[in-house]
Amino acid sequence: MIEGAAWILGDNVSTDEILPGRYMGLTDLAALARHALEGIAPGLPARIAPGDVLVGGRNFGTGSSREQAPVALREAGFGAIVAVSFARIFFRNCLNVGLPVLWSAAEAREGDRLQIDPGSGTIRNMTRGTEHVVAPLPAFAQAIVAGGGLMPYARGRLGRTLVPRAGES
Amino acid sequence: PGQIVGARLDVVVSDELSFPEVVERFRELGAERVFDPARVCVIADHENPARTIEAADRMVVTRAFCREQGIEHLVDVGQAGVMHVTLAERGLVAPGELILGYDSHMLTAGGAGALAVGVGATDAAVALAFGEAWLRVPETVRVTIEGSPGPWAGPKDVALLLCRQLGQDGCVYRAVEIDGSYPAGLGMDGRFTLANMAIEVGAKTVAVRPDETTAAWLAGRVERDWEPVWSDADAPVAVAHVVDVSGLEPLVALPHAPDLGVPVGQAGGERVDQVFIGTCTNGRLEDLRVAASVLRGRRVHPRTRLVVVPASPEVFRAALAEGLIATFLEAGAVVGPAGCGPCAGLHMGVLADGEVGMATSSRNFPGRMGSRESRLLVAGPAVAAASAVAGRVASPDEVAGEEPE
Ligand code: SF4
Repeated sequence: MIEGAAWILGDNVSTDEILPGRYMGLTDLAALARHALEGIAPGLPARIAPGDVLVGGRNFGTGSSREQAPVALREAGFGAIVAVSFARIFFRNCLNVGLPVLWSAAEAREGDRLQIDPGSGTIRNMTRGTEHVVAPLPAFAQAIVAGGGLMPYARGRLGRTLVPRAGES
Repeated sequence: PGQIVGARLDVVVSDELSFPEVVERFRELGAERVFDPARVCVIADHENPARTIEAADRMVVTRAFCREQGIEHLVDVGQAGVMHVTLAERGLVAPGELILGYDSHMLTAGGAGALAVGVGATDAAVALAFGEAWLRVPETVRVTIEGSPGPWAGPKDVALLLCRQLGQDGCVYRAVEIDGSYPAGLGMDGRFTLANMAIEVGAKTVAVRPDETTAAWLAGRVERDWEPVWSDADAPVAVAHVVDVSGLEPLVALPHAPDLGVPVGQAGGERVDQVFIGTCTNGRLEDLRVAASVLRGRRVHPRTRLVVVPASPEVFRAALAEGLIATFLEAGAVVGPAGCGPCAGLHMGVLADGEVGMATSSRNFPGRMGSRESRLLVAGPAVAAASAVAGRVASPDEVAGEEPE
């Protein structure tokens, strides 16, 4: 269960805004965290508490495939991202770096307390007393994100195929 | 559709800016060897010749890894062009093949009928180790394009029209099939432009129907057998769009998104400080020909800078042989080394606070080509060249009068 305050962004937030291209070469996680959202909400990382939830509009994370974008958000402290819809590569990168993501149009205002259960797809707005249940991720994707991302999963599959083949015990 | 599969990959690709990150993930994974060194390609296009000491250091890591793993397709300075252009030129793209790459414009390979999917660093590292990726089988969107656009409107304008009609999230998670008399009449350069822009409507992958034009282009580049794979006429599609481009006018996408295209005449004639012609969208030979046809015998406006970057050394050599490079230089343009140029806001012509740029690239999100306080317009090569001459957003008719041959 993830619990924290909601931070609201709009439609079509691009990875150029989540992490401007000039920071792509950074490998220091703390530095990535400091520059998170610099293209759209500079200064925000300093105000985030661990477990806070980023709430986006349509097509969240559009644009470049830079994986540093979800890594920066994760390192900045976000526990999950909820958006009306996600750009594909960004969504996939979130799963691969172990940052839970849910497609939902559930309403929230800045600062609302949200409680998220990615396994069941439940989004509870504690400030407003509402609850939304959305389609959870496919089982394979859930397993990846629950295990902390694709890296630990793939490590356990070295020497075999990445995705288990039919009939594999 | 909807099923998750483990798919075998024909090629895994990365640019050089991101590759050290992939190497780091690969080591973290504990893998020792890449799945097949002949099927891995790394291209030095984004920040080389090295733009900073850090960039130079990154290349040291990349070169060492490629040597260690026996990766022959490390395409270094001198041979490298924009990855999506160089990859196809080297014969690593053929219809029916599955390509995974660490870049969102990967799906450009769909211009030649290959299925190419963009991913992030962890996926790329895992793909290097396993030669496999987990993929969700996408639904299909069929886009049939008919008709002939008006004077000066080309594949980029058609792509901008599709962006406007379908929206930035119009095809998220879907595979797009491009068919119809318009793409069938295009050469490969134009087909790559159409495929390239499919990411701007969120597509997972895209394919233009392969035909004799494709076969002729592949001959001499691809020696292995390939099949012109295409879906059955009765295959289920999620949505089918039929788009008539007859008489289409050239479009300009206004800040700050590629789906904000308007006819050039309605773009307000805004002043332009810098025009950039190049990229994986519009830096190929046919694009440079169009730009040169507008610029021939004319000068770039004194308050405007024109940066031309051929997409690859192959394109550069051909443009040189045809006299296009001379035309650009005589017009007062600077011609940069093959690669991405300033497209991603990294080097060779980034924009300052308050500046207005026009680029033939694919996207104009805030801060894409430099300062977040800059404005970027996206257009095809004809409008870009005309605007460089006029010093403001201008239609080629205004400066050139007649169509190129
Ligand atoms: S030219 Fe631009 S869009 Fe194409 S690969 Fe390079 S940076 Fe990306």
